[in-house]
Amino acid sequence: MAVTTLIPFGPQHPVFLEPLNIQLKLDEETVVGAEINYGYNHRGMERAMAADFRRTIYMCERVCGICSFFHSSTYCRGMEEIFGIEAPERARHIRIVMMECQRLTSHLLALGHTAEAMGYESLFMQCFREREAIMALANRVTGNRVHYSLNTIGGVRRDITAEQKAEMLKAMDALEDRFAPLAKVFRTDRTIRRRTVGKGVLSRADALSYGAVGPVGRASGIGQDLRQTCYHGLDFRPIVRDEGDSYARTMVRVDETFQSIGLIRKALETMPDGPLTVPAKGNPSGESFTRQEAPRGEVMYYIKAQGKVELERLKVKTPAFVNVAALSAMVPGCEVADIPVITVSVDPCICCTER
Amino acid sequence: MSTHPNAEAIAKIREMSKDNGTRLVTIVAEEYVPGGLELIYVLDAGGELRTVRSRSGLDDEQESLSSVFKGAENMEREIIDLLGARFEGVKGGLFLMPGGVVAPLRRAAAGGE
Repeated sequence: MAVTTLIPFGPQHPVFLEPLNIQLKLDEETVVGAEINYGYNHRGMERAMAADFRRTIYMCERVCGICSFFHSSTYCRGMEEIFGIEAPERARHIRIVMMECQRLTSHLLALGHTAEAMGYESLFMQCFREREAIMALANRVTGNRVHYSLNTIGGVRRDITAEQKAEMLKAMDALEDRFAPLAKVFRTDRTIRRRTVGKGVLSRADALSYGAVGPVGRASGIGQDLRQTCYHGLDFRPIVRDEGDSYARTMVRVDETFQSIGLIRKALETMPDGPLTVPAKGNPSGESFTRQEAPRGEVMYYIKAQGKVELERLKVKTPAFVNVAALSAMVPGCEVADIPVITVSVDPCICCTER
Repeated sequence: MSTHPNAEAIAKIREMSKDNGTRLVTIVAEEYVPGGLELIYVLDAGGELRTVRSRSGLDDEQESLSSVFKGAENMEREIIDLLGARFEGVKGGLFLMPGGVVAPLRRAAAGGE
């Protein structure tokens, strides 16, 4: 008679940076089912963020400590739509530059985390060394390492000077040179391939059914990246793979790291002169659905305003909310020893998931 | 035939889901008037954002979309937690624990112990 064992994976586990529980159902060493339990980190932010639209930027940057600038950019674009204004072209370029800087820090964190989960301490530290350089660069440009506080409704609060632009271009050259050998390790190392190829496969059909987005969706053959529509004029093409396994998810992030370096160069080189903001006055009325391609995938803000400082409703859809749920379809059939790497390959963010 | 107040919306989404590539982005829920629930199903169809809306009483039982999109279940569980809405065959308890705050996004929050 087959014996089924239940093993709790988390909420406290060495590979989890935040609390999440996966109840694994095992037949000997093989996973036959998984139930994901949330609720350790819920902060009720949607209600708090709707209290005063003028102060929401401060709070929405704190939904997540990794992709904070994407949250404030999406919120500001949503409010700009309701106000009936558009941020100036220079401000839009600055937003793109800083979003791609933050994507670099996010992908380098995810890659380092993946390396660490496989016992590659040196590779982990080298990824974080490169990440640190970008965070220090963001600090010099915006005054902050994580929460840039650069956005405002109608544009951005600070410019990128000519000296900062030159420094950023130099930093991109250096990162490209130093990341290339690390990318080669992720791409070709025999042990990394054995730990990731064919592990945690998410089929395209399951990815669509769970609504998987970002590198998780693109590694399963969903060729969508919102930068195609948001970054007009920068000749953007998404990176898509068909395998759907942990290796594909890792490789999408590796290739997107190089892609972000290229986008930062293009955005800086094509950045026009001009104002940084347009005024947004009064308390507007209206409704908007705004999306942005964050490092983990699509962030969406629904905003409903009714002529008061309080918003009628503010809904934040984060990529981790759908990507973490898709783990239920990835783990059945896998060995229990592969679960940490599969979980990390999704780049789970519980702050975003639970808000 | 389903008698749920959102049955028409679910049927429309089921039809849209036949187009390969359509995915559910999110479900926005709001108490749009006291005691009234508005569900906005937000879908992505080939890169275009589409919305399907349904309005009913806050305490009416709704049909679940999880038979069409597996990802809908957690979205509905969150709505149960935050607004105290009901979906057939779906339990709450995604984020909020028993004995804690109840339906905090209702206009007159139901409170907790």
